[in-house]
Amino acid sequence: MLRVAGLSARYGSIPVLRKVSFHVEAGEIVALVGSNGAGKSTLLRTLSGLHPLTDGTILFRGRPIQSLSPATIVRLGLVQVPEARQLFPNLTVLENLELGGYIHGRKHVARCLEGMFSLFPVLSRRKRQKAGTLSGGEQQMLSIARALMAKPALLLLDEPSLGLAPLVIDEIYGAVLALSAQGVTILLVEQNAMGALGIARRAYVLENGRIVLAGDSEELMGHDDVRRAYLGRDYRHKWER
Amino acid sequence: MMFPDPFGPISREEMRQWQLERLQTTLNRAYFQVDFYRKRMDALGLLPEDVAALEDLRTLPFTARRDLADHYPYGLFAVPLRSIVRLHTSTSTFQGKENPIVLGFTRHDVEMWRSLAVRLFEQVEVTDRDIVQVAFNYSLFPGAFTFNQAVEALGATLAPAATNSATIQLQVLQDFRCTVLATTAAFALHIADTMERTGTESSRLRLRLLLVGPEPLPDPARARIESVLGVPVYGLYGVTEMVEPGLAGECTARDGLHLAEDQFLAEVVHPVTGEPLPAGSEGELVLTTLTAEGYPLIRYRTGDVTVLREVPCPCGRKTARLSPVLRRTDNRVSVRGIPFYPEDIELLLRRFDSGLEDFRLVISTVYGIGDQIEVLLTRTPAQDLPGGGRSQYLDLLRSQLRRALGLGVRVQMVEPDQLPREGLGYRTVFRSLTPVPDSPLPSPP
Amino acid sequence: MKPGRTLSAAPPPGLSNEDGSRRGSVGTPFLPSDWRMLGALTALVLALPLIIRTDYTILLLNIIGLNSLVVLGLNLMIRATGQVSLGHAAFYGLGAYVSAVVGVTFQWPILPSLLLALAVVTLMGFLLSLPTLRLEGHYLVMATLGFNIIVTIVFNQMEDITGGPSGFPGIPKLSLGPWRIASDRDFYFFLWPLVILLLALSLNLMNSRTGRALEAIHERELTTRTLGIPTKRYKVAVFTLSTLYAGIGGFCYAHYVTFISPKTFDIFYSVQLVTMAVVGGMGNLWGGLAGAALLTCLPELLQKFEDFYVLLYGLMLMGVLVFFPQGLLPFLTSLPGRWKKSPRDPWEVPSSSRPAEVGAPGERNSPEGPDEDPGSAAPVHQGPPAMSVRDLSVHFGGLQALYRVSLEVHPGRIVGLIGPNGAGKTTLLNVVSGLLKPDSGEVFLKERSLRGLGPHEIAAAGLGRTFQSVQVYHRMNVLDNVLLGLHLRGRSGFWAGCWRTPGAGREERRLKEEALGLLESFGLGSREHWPVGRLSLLEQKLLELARARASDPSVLLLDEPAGGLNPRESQCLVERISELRSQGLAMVLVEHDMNVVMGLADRVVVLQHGTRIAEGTPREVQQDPRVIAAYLGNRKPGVR
Repeated sequence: MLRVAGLSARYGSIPVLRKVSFHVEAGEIVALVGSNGAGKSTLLRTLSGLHPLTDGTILFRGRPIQSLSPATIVRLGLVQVPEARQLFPNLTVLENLELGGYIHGRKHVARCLEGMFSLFPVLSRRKRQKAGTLSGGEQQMLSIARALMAKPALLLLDEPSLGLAPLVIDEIYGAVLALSAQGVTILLVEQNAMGALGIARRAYVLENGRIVLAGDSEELMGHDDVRRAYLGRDYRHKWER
Repeated sequence: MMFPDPFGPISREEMRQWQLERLQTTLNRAYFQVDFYRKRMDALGLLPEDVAALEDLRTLPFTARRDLADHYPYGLFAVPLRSIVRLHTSTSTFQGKENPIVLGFTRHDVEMWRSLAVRLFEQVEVTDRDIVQVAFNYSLFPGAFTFNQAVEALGATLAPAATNSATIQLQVLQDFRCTVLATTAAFALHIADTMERTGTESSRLRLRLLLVGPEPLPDPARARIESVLGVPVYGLYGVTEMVEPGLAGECTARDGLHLAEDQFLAEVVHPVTGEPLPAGSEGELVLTTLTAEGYPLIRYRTGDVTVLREVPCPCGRKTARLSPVLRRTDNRVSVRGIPFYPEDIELLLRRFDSGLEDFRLVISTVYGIGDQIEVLLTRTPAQDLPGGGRSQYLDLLRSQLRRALGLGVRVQMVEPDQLPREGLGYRTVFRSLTPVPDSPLPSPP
Repeated sequence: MKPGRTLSAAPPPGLSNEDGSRRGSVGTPFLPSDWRMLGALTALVLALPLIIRTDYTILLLNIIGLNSLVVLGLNLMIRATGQVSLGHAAFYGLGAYVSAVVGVTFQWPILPSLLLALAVVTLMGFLLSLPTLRLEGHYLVMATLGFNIIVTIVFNQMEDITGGPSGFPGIPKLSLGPWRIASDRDFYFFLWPLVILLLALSLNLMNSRTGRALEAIHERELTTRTLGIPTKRYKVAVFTLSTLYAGIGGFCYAHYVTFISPKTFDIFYSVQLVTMAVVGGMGNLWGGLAGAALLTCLPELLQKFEDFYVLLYGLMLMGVLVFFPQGLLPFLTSLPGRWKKSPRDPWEVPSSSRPAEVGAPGERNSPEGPDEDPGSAAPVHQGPPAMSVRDLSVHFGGLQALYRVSLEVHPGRIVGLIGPNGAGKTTLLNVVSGLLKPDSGEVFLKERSLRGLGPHEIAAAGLGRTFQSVQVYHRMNVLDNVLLGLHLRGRSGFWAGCWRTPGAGREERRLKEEALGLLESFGLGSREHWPVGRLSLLEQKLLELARARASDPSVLLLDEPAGGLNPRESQCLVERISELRSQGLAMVLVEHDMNVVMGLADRVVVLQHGTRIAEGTPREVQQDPRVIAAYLGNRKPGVR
């Protein structure tokens, strides 16, 4: 569904992504993990069209999207749930959701709302509350639900577990799994590698703008190199015990 | 991490994406964790991200066998020893001449090789109902252990054995009702000979098929084994330095060897200029590992000349296929499974006898497989014979050669006009001991 | 292009100044660096009256001269603070009125009236700027606008003293000893040398150590503070100086036209003055003259349009801002440059301009070679720490950014500071360098508490810093950037700067030598005259490091130095940092590139959510399960 090859991007003159390649098949949950500064958020922003790329191709459902506007990309079905939620704090839950489905029209919004509330019952209870008053976990759910209102084929999740307590993270991940079961393809970006590896089937490890490791989640879970991607090389000589 | 399904709807497009992703991780690994590759790339002013597409790979230099030996022992490792679970040494048979090559495999690498060996079995339709006999000289071919693991992983029954006695082997084959035999071509021929000699009927065996390797299987040998044993013989391909089998293997269609493209990126280059050649042309096979963690190799020149075809196979698999190895780019020859270079023999001869003028290696082949070596040499009579007399000289030389090669070698001193003219290879001549069909002699491995 | 000239104008972006600056360079003391241009101007000034016959034109030239005086001061202020004053007419007016009132009403002689006028003007300027320039933002403009309105009202209302709206007549003309400055021509020959003198002094000032600091303050105030420069003090000083110029101008004006009225000194005149500055080139001292000349003559030319005069004025201002945003003079002086070879994109640096030694990445993993773990080589106790942080806590709104964090770093040692996003690393650096006030806890630099000190005082105490986004000054060349780092080693101030005293020259020479030596040691020796924009990212980072080193700090804070560098460049930077360590500097290194930190640091401190969760040698930290959990999370059994 998503095929990225040779993607490069920079901030000013500083290269942030260095020829990154990966893909996501329809129906998969794929995780992209890495330490802060590795380039994860920039990657998602580039996919969504919010940040220019200096090189590479992005094929979404076979169609190159690297030069399209963010609005067009959303319309095509690639929707991002941004880092740190980024809700409209002074609008109600309902209004936030309605905005999420804006491009598809009122009838669609009405239909989707039902689905959202069954997926996230807590949102139904807080329909008319201002988004800024929700707890961290509820906000994250709202953020995801809002993105879902745009009928995504591929959902990009930018660090959904950031700042949330472990129990809440479990809930969120549970929701993500449920979504995947419904057929939404998911690209999950996380710093919390272990959590992400727990629900994704495949993963890529990003370090300093490069993908240094790729494979099945099971393989990567105990892999020394994942730790090294975060904390650096832990040996000086090859023969160290 | 294997391809989801080599039969499945994976197009070559998707394959290229997969390979690109893995190539980038390999290059990153090689650059950041192996001094050798980093220095090379720095010298060219290249960074891993400069290889953005598979085509860009050709900007990187080749890695040769010599590079592996030069960086003995751990110079080309990409992980520390504590992440390595298995070490393999591929010693050159000439001790002291060049360093051994040490390869290191992590847990992942070991599993990968095992999966590839399983794939070899699956390609020739070995199932968990089979009883597989794996018969190799494990010290010469440590990769055979992987066969053992693969058989167990497959769920088939393993009957391990060594290659000491063909008679005993035949006994075992009968008694255990083995359905599959994996062994070397030489041993398979030996078994065939023994069967003929003892008058054993092939119907007494329950064999379904043979898997023969890791050296290439010459057609005469295949024909001979098949005619005596009455079952198909499938070849496989491995690179001596990589020690493990599983790089490529035949399928039931027997139209080339399917390459494990999800783990290795293959290129075919001109043996002399190094220029990349398009698929379908004949050239030297250059391999780049895509998932190897302990020992990544970038553009390794195998020295094997072959043809790479990308068209789909009648069996349905879409992985590219290699033709059986046509010849070597260097002068390496193999006798009874032992590879060596005529140049090395020359070095030994000259060091032994400064009066040496010229020599020839006469290799007798049996069904295309090297069986015996004879050294014919000429020398200046004026020079003293090392060792004193002629017979002592020959004895000494014979024992030195035996020590160096691990094989018994006949040596004769002759007159210059008795030296045979060279055939293919360096100072090497081949003589077939078995009847040869009218087609030109394929060069021995 | 004259060397000094290029620095007076704010260089347009993208043009490469090959000649660069001779700023503050060795030159004859007292001789202004722009003496050629000034000489030409003097010649012009002297020649003009000979050509011009009509007295009216002379009058015009005099008005231009007076306007130039005030605009000169304005430009100085803009150059240094980046802010604009909409009240300089008031200072002009005060200079005129005070001298007129004491001169006529109280019969004071000329000189004392001048001095009193200037005293009043500068006092007002000082009092106005002191509170407003403390604040971030453009409060000064509002204050000066208000001030101008108030002053105009005062002039109008205090009829008894000022004569009110009908004006103040009978101001005596000036006389300099025997020379009575009566006619327009007399005044011309009095005023214009004064203008040239003040221009020369101003140019000298901008080319001096002080001027350098002023430019730096304008471009990046916060960074300049971390170099030990008391920015607020300088800003107030420059503003006051600019009012002085206006006061002088007002004085001359009053004793020239002999009749003044409040209407002359209203906000409209202030706006005109600003327009002159803008049109000529904001902050451009020479441009001020051009702008004054153009806009003084314009009304004459636009006389016939009468009512549309204001409209045209506005259109002019708009036009200049849209088409020549840098001002007319910079545009004109850049013209010859545009026909030269097109400038290279500064970010595609050709290989020849890479620093001489990018250095081969060292033998990091060679099988031979001794097992040099820097942590193990360091003895446990090396005397008192160069810096210690004790129980530091900071919070923003409801978020606790740092909670009781402690840290020590010894001379000749590097402490790596790592932690996941939002752990508080940059906050810690900001608190230590004084850019942020902590809620509790203290920072000690060599036993001396830094509590309550501002960033420039902390810097002066021996703390240096580099920034995540390289904070080098693009308006200056490489040498000047390093000289800024050496600012605290000099002492020549405004006076010495204006007059180019021999002492100032000697000091500048000494500083320049030191700066060059420093550049050499960082591999940038051949680049001293390059504009900063032409350096590669690595070179810019090295420059920032050299600048930080220049102030001879005992502690250096490095904020993500390797950000954006490729591995080879990283290695070069790492080597330089190592060198600094061997020179005895204590350093705190915040960095994302773990291989850099772990390879360089002697000890590593790990923060998470504002608290310290681990500390030890790199190896220890890498294997600490809390650290691993902090970065990677915890493995959850059964979630699949």
